Amino acid sequence: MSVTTYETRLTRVEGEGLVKLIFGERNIERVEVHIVEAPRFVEYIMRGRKPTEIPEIASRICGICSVSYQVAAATAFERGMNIEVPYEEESLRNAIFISEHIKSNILHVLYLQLPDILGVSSSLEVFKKNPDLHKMAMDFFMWSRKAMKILGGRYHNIVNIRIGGVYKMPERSDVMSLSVEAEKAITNARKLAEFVFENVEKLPKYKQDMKTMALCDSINYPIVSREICFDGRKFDVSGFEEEIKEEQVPYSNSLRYKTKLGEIYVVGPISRFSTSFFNLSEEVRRALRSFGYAPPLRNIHCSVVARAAELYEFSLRLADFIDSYRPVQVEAKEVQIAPGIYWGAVEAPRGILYHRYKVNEKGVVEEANIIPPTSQNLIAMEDFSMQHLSNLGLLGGENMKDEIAREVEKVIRQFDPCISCSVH
Amino acid sequence: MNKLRIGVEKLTSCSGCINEIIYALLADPKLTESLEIAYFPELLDKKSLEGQFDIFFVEGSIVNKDQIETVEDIRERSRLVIAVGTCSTYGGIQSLRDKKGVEEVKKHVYPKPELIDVEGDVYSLQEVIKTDLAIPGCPVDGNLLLRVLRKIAIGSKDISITESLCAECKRKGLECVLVKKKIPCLGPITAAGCGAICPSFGRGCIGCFGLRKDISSKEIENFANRLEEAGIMKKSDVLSFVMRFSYAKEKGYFEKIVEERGR
Ligand code: SF4
Ligand code: SF4
Ligand code: SF4
Repeated sequence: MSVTTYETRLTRVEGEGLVKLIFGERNIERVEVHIVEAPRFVEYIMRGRKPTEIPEIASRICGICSVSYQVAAATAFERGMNIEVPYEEESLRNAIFISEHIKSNILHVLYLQLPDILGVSSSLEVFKKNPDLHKMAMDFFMWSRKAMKILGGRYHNIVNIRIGGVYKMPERSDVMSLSVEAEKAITNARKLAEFVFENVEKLPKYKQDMKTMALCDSINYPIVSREICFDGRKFDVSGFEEEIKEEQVPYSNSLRYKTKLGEIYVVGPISRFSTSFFNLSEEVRRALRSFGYAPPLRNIHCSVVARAAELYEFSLRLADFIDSYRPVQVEAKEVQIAPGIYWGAVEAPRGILYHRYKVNEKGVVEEANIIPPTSQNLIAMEDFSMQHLSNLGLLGGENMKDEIAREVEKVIRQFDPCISCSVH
Repeated sequence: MNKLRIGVEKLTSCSGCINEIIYALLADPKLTESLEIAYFPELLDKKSLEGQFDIFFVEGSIVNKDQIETVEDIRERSRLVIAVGTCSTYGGIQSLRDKKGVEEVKKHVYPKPELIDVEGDVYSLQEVIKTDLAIPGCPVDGNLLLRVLRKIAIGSKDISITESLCAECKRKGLECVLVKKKIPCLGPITAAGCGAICPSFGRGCIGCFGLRKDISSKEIENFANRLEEAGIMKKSDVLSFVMRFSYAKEKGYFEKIVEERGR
């Protein structure tokens, strides 16, 4: 049997990856997502370092979602060592985390994904034709930048998170300076969400079988939690590694994951949306319903719907934080390091981010394990690509390779892969 | 006027600096007008390197032959090559695995280490090709990048950054956390550029903008000794902090330190 292959670099995603199409005699047989980016071995680098250094080292894993890494690491040690985080400091930290979600969603929706929705090859093209949209994108982008800067010190690798809380509560007047533009940001978020909801009409609508995994929180739309929700069950984060199975394939520098029973699962906005829709604000739910969206979303192309809804939700939540902000004096923190095993998990913009650390008698990290969301989605990217091709009737041979590759890239972009994270 | 043809490539890194590059390229519409963004896989669908470039920004460090070939190709095609961020300038945090034996390192992370194409130690861009400018920062400061771009756009050649963080910190009138609170701060040996963010949050600098260009290993050692004598931080801890971001700046020295510590 003649087998041919075709490789193309993934564009408009974070990091270096390739799509490889494998053709049989007549039809495409398989899609492979090649993760070629070189690893940095961050888990190895952490060995011998003190827990207090870990949030800042972990943050360098990803320039888009560094706060997620800081919070996951800090909460792992805080919970395991019974370190209390004052309420005000925790609220500030959550606000920084929410700002990161906003930033990541803006980057993804406006700069990486919009071209797919509108059928062009880059956001620069979109903006040229639609200056209003460009202005809105830029304003929103700048607002998220400013929020991160005031609350965290800068746009990424922020300097204001440590085990036990934060270093400083910013002045109330500085935080209030975000308030004026917050109204506009909420309007922008709503408009953008509506724009997405409307245009997604054009995207494929077939129903997919999809197993979703997400953190759950009884009150809020989830960002930090001890509980993971899967298949109608809940389990504690310390049991996560028992629920999943790791695999390594020759073409990926990222490890890949299925459930222990060998099921393919999905993490990310589409999973959060489906499990926590009722924790979204009334206002956001109403907007979604008016466009006919309700949980569960059962097509990966609706990820962008979930992302736009989150952008709206998180803008509201950040505005709330700003309006009710009351700084308190931050007390000095003495962290008593105890040996043990520590688990932490957060909902990073792309889904569940899991950390485990073993701290030894010398008070330094002996072993670290970090499982980013993109690594967990890799198998689904391949599987859903084949499902998509089959639903479009695009299972043809090599002569259709360009069209096939384009469609596969669109599916992969719906996961918003962060390849640097996946290899870390 | 001809537009400046721009390329951007990411190597082994986190994309934090890529975001700042996006900001610098797009924040000022007038400047954006004068640029042709010709290669930037994270932003455009264009897949391969073609033609000559006026400015090429490179993020990240170098860990295998493919990357060496890529940056050599970039060098040949570009008038100016700019190393962006601490990874590209000094290797970044990933350099902490240097001299540990890469095969050994792989075993700690992968069940099948033989499948991973990483060949040796971590190199900064400056160690592999000649760069015209290196702008450190983890991440680099987007506004600084914007200023550099503007200068190049008007044809200026004089773009240098040599100052310590303390100078910036003092200009801002911040309280010195090192002197007043005995909090370890790497400001005196760290390159300026961030605007003294950490001291403004009441904490010490951890050196993410990398060591000052003009600093020698002797001065690093003196600084560490001084902190130890003042009872602020153990010398070995100071050095362990410094090498987190600036390993490739003083490789020989840090290798020796790590060996002595036997970790
Ligand atoms: S210098 Fe820092 S922010 Fe920039 S790519 Fe490297 S790790 Fe990321
Ligand atoms: S706080 Fe740090 S950076 Fe500022 S003057 Fe003191 S030592 Fe220098
Ligand atoms: S003060 Fe130091 S560690 Fe903090 S951002 Fe500036 S250079 Fe980086």
